[in-house]
Amino acid sequence: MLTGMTDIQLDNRGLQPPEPMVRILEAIRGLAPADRLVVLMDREPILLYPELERRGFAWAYVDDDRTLTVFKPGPA
Amino acid sequence: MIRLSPATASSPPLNLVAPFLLAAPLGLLAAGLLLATTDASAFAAINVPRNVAATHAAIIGGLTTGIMGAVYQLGPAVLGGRLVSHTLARIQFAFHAVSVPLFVWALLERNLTFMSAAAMAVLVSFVLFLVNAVPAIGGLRKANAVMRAYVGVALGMLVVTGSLGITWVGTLQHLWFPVTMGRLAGHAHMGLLGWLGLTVMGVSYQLVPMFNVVQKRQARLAWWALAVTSIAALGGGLALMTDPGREGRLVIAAAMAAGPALWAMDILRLLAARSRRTLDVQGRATFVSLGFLGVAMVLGMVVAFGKPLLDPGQAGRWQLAYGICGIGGWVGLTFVGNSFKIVPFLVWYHRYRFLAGRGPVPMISDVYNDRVANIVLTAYAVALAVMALGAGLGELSVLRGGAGLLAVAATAHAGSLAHIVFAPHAAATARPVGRGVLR
Repeated sequence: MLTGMTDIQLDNRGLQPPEPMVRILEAIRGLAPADRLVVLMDREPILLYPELERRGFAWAYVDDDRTLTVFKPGPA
Repeated sequence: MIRLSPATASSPPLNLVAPFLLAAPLGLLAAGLLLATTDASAFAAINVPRNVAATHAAIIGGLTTGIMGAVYQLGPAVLGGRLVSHTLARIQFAFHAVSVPLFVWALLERNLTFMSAAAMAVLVSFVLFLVNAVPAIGGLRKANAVMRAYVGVALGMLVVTGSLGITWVGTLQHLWFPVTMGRLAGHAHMGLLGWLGLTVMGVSYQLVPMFNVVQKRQARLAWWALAVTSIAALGGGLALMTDPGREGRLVIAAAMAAGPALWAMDILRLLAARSRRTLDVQGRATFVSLGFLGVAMVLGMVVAFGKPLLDPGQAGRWQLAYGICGIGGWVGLTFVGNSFKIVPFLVWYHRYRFLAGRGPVPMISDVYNDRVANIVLTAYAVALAVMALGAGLGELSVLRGGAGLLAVAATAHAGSLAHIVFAPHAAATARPVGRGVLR
């Protein structure tokens, strides 16, 4: 983790659609530019991705541990 | 595997998918009306025109229409595939909506000219569907390989079943070869088990864990069930076309039951491990449909045994009961349960996702009424049980009464789905953002 960066963790396991999507979209509202939202998922939230990008966020999803990381992309 | 933005997934528009799901109960309504007005000839043979018309209304008009909408939605949304053209899907719906009622009417009237024209139009609808459906399920996500494989094989079986069906229509008009009961049975089982069955099985492997929140247990028998069912549907269907004797029919019936039995064991294991103990309409529908599947398997063996279990003068009785349990009870109730989850999610996604995180939004429980959905499901289940009983016992009034209730249930189903799509939904109260957030 980079200095000054905070990981905010969210456990979205055991929830029915669309609650995981709602909780992520609620959680990123207060995300500082240097923060990352790390979410434990039951399955890949494919339909969330376009909405994250529409709101200016980038994401990475790891299949093996079903973890989604959401963050504000830095300046190019 | 790690995936990074930008996104590649997309959900088709609501007005593309919803018409298929809203129209599907109308096919079941037509089947109900056809059997509610039948006479005793329904028991004489399974292939009397009214039985054939009701079967095709339920399968092509009802269940296939619903599955088409589900594939258009779940392919891009779950499997990560893409539709070739939204316009093509809309044209396909129009083609399907016109050609299927015409085909059902032609089957009822045994009008060979219209039957040929309408069957060709139905086949064109299938081809247009496949142009979009194949790339829709063609995503690269390994996690959903089971559902992709089942739906992929099922699409292949749709091609085989449709091709045989159009050949039967052609031979009725041009007398190329006789359409025996065996050939009809082969066509019917490829459609029921190969197309509808495999689709239901594959989609259930995805949706049952998702909606019932199964986290700690994985499906064990999925690939075995797929292999056994695919081989039995294709091989058994072809073997039935040779009009085999009793021993052959019993072997085919057992082989056709084996794959769904493996699948049912897997689904019951998954449901037993669910975190969400209270069943909603989808979970209840799954349990009830499994019960009908079990009855269909037993009736399938009875029908395969033939005389003396079947009265030669009323051979259609148990065959009709078998079809009602397999088509309506297993596949139909699974569709009904899932329709009350897929349609509300579609409406939520297209109407409320923009608002999520910015203010209170309705949740799925606010978009559909689980009590109404359960009433509809119960009406369907009672109707189908009464129909199967009436058919099996050869009681015309009982069959007609059950079919009338089926028509009522299908009307209520169509109305409640339309209400979900068109009615405004009250926003839930704002929930705390921080629940489950750990810093």
